[in-house]
Order: sequence, then structure tokens, then C-alpha cells
Amino acid sequence: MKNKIILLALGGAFFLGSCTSAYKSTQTPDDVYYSPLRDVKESKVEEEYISREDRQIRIGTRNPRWRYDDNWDYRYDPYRYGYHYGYYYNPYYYPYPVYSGITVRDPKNTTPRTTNLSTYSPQTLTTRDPKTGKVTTIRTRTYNQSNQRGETRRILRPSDNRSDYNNNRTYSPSSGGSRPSGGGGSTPVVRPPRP
Amino acid sequence: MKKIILTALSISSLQAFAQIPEDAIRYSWFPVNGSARVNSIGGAMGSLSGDITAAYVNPAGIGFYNTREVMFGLNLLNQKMRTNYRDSITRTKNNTLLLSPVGVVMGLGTNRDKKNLTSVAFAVNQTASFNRQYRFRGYNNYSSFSEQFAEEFAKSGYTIDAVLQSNSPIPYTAAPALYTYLIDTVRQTDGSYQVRAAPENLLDQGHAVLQDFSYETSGGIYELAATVATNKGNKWYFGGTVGIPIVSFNSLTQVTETDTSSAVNGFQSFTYKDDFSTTGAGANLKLGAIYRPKDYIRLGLAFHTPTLLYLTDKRNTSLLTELDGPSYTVNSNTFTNGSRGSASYLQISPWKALISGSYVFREVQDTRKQRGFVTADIEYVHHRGTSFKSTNEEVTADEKAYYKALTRVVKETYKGAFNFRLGGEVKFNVIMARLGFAYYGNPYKNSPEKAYQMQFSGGLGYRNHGMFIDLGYVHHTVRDQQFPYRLEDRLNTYGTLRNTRGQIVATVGFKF
Repeated sequence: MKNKIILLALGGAFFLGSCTSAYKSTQTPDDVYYSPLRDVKESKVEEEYISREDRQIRIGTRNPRWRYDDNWDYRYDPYRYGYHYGYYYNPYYYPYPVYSGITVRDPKNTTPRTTNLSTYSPQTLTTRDPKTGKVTTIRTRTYNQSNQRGETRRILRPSDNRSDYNNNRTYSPSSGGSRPSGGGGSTPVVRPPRP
Repeated sequence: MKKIILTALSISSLQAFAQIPEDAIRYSWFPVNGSARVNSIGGAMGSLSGDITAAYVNPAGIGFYNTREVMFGLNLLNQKMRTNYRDSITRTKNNTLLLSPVGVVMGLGTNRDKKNLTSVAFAVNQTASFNRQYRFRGYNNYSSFSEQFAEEFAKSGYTIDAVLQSNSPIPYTAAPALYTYLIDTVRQTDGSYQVRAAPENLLDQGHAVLQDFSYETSGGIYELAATVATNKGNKWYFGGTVGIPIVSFNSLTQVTETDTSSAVNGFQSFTYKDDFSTTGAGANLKLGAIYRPKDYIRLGLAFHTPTLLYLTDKRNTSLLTELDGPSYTVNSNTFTNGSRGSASYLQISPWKALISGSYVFREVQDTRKQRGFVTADIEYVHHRGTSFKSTNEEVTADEKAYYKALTRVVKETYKGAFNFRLGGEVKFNVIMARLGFAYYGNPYKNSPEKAYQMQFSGGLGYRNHGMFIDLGYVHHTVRDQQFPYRLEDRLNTYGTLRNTRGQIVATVGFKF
């Protein structure tokens, strides 16, 4: 698309460049500073006489409805579309299926690209004052940026119950959730066997 | 604010996955790309006028035109990326082409009616480029990319059989990971089951994985603009642009993790490829006014409405997992009925507003007496205002809830930011010299590192014999960060990006 636009622009610009002569011998205006008005001289335009026959031909070339005789051709009337000689060719009146040969295909999967939105929020850290025993919960953003520095990796277990981490890795399937909006038409995919 | 976070979390905990927040600023955090003249003066165009770029910044500037011109231009970009990921530095570079405004401006006024003059402009411009290649590469003894699949699957509430379907609810991530045994359920000593990723075995033993993230993105936003502007007695100028942005974004991501230990731990490596594209179109409106209280002084005000973008994402992933011994591979088409998955949605990108001032030395008709100008813009972009809605044919209640939650998370993640642009020109009859500067502020509310974009620019122009040629150079620096993956139950890790672009801009135009 980009190449087409560039080619079109190049062609158009060079065409205009070869045609333009208005400012070749005078100063080229710089519209940032000053944009001169075009000088247009008044001229009288005489009205052209058009015969009835010419008018009819001109109207007919612009609109096919007026192409035959002087009359409006109802075949092109959107409000009477399909009406001809007292009979409607209207698909809604037609007793048999108008469309045929439609094959049923599996629905498209319309699941959006996904991410865990909870990870964009600050994490909750709980601290306990050793002197007073007061427990404070703060929401903070901390990061692990280095292999040498920063917090050591903690092994997640289902029995973990630390308030500063949300252990979400326990396998406890519930209702099975909702299907993608593409609908049904799904068959099981069997995993390859594991040795 | 607390209520919003809690609501977002409560919705996301039902099924915590939706379109990603990073999609928000892709369509709002980018610099002005205009003609070579405008790029050379830092993109400051809010009150200057006399250039087709005004159609994209302040349409009232088109109202200054009484002449007619056609122009086109190109940008050549040389990009260097320096990334730092877990103390490892990686460098990449690539070249790309960018389209500058191509179009026509016509002043319709004549000397018969000097009080009300009208001008129109039609243009197409590449307002943003997504062409980038970069890499994060480093050792990690703390977490694995594959853990997000384990977390996602465990939180989903699905059984393995429910995910491994030809029309899967998690087809791009958890389904391939389950199929290739990159993640699986493991029985614990207390009889319960936990979802674990294979690399966790070696990480729990204190070893590290070598992570390699390779990103290649391309495409851009191409905006068609139709502008009408009017000049009221050379004092007030008003203008409006109907913009039709056409979006094309392609992304190819490859993630590889390799076991760096020699121990047998049930994992050797995995390679995950994510082929993702977004296409669509939309509409916006740009309205502006310029007031000229005195000759030489111009004050500008412009407002850009939110852009309605009707977008369609198409996605396909593949995964190769090599365990100690067997290896497994699968493509996500297996879980999306044999063809690429496709999701349609409406993204409403944020509004922006700007004020501007210019001082033009000698606004006279004789071009030999014109001397130059200085101009400056202050712009506010409401980055946190991006919102999403599904436009799939059958939208489920869950899907609606995800997009609602996503919009709220975007509000919590981003903030409004100010951009500053400053530029000037010195004119010597038919030759012009220009300098400019621009600064685009941090759009993140809580970023671990400072993010910004900065431009230094300069250029030369020639205008004679009914044509003009402008050349410019823009030195563009971007500081940003990116999380290659995010985990809820561990601290996250991010990479920093330092993008340096050398941009050569050329514009040619003709008066007719």
C-alpha cells in the first residue's frame, strides 16, 4: 500500500511540476509568511442554448432511467424493484430457497489476545512492627531485575498461605468457564502420550 | 481509585484475561510526523500555518493559504535499539521508510471577497510507524516465561479436557503449553494438584534458564485527512479535519528458554512463536483556531477528538517443547478450528489538546524581506482515556466484562502527559535554515524507569521557480521499558529499551 501511495504521489507531483508555470518567472510565495490572493478578472459568460433533443440526450447519458423516451423507467425505481408487468420477482415471494450450495464451516475462534490484568496492579505486602506488633498492609511495586540481587525464588506450594503472595497455581477446575464467542463446534484434541 | 482496582481485580479473577493494556499507548504515544519543514522545527505546528501538516495538528493553519500547492515526502529511518535485560545488554539495528504528508492544498479565495476566504486540503500521511526490531536476552534464576501459562490455566477454572479442544477458550497460550507438556498438573504430597511449568523444576533447584525474546514489529497508522478552513478578516482562522486512520500492525515474537544446568530435571528448552496482526480503520475529528491579534503574532488552539478504531486481531502461535528425552510441537490452529483466530473490537484512543504561539518576522509579500519565525506548542494527551469494546458477532457477558476491566486497568496504568515542541527558521530569500526540539512526556502512571521521547532536529529549505524542496534531519531518542511477561504470584522483571533513530526527511512541492 505504501509503495502504491509513493508511486502515485511521485507521478502526480511530477505531472503538476511539468504543468505549473504560474510562479516560474515570479517570486514563489511562502504561505507561512504571506499568501497572496489570486487575481481573478470578471468575465461575462453567455448562456448556451440547448435544444430539447440535446437536453434529452444529456439527461439520458447521466441517468439511465431517462434513457428511453421521455418517461421514467420504473425498472430502475427502488420502491418498485422487481415489479414488471404485474408480477414481482421478489425473493421473499419465491417459494424455494434462493441461496444454495452453502457449506457449513466450523466457527471462527474469536478469543481475544489475553493477559492477566491482575498483574498490572501493585502487589500487597504485609509488615509487622516487632515492637508494637502492629500489622500494616501496603500496596507496592517491586521488581526482580537481577540474578545476584533481589528476592530469592520461593517454591510455590498449595499449602502456602502468605498474604504477600497470591498462589494461584492450584488445579481446582470449577464449572469449566465460558466458551469463546465463536460458539460450539468443538471436538476434543488428544495430547500425544508421554513416556 | 481503590474501588476501581478492586472492581477490576474482581472481574479479572473470574477469568483474568483480555486484550492487553500495552495496546493502549501504541496509538497515542508517538511524535508528529509532518513535512521535512515541520519535522525540522520539532513538529511545532499549532499556530504556524502555511504547511499541509497543519491538517494533522491545527487545521486552522490551512486557512492561511490563498495559493495552491501539491507536495509529497519521504522519511528514511535508521534505528538502533539497545536493551538491558537482567544485566545483559543486546544491540540491534534496522532501516525503514516512512511516508510524509502527500496531498494538495487549495486556497479558494480571490481578490473579490477578501473578508471571508476558504481553503481546503486533502492529504494522506503516515502518522506513526511500528517498524522495530529488538531483543531481550539474559539468564534468569527467578522465574520463567512459561509460568504465566501455568498461572493462566490454574486461574481459568477449566479442566485440561476443556482447554484441549478444537475450539479452545485459551487457544494461543495454555492449550499449546498443555499439549506439549510445557505445563502440566503435578500431584502434591497433600493429595492436591498444582499446575506447574517444566522450567520450574530447575529454577526451584537454584539453576537458571537462558531467556531470549526476539521482537519484530512492522506497519503503521496511515491517516487520510480532508480539511476545510476559513479566514475571517486575517484576524481569526478556523479549521476542521475529518481524519480516517488506517491501522496495520504486525508483530512476530519468538521466545526461547534453555536449561543452563547439566542436571536431568525434565526440561531442556522451549521455543514459542507468536504471530499477531491488527488491522482496521477509524475516524476522528480535529478542530482548531488561530488568532492573529497583531501582525507577526499568532496564537493557536486545537482539539483532537478521541479516535474510534474498529480493529481486528488475527493470531497464530506455535510451541516446540523439548523435555529431557521426548519433544512435542503444536500450532494454535489446532485449537482454533484449523484457521487463525480472529477477534474484533472497538478501541477508542484518547483525545488531545494543544495551545501554541508563533512570532513571524516580517509577514510581507516580498519574499526577499521575509526573515524567519519562532514557534512553540504545548500539547496534552489523555493517554489514560483509551477504552475497548468487543465487536465480535456474538459477544458473551464475560467478554464484555473483560473489556470493561481492561479499560479500568488502562486508567490505572497510564496517565495524561504533556508534550512540548519548539522550533524556528531563518530565511535568506530563497534559502531557509531550521532548528527544532521536541519532548514527549511519560505516559505511565507507575513506571519503574522514566519513559520519554526527545527529538533534536535541523534542516534546510529552498523555494523558487514555483517549487520547494526541504531536507531535514531528526535525532530521536526513546526511553521505555517492557515486561516480556507478567506473573501475579512472583515479582516481575522488565527490560529497558533505548531506541535511537536517525531520520532523514525530504519533501518536494509545487505551486500551481
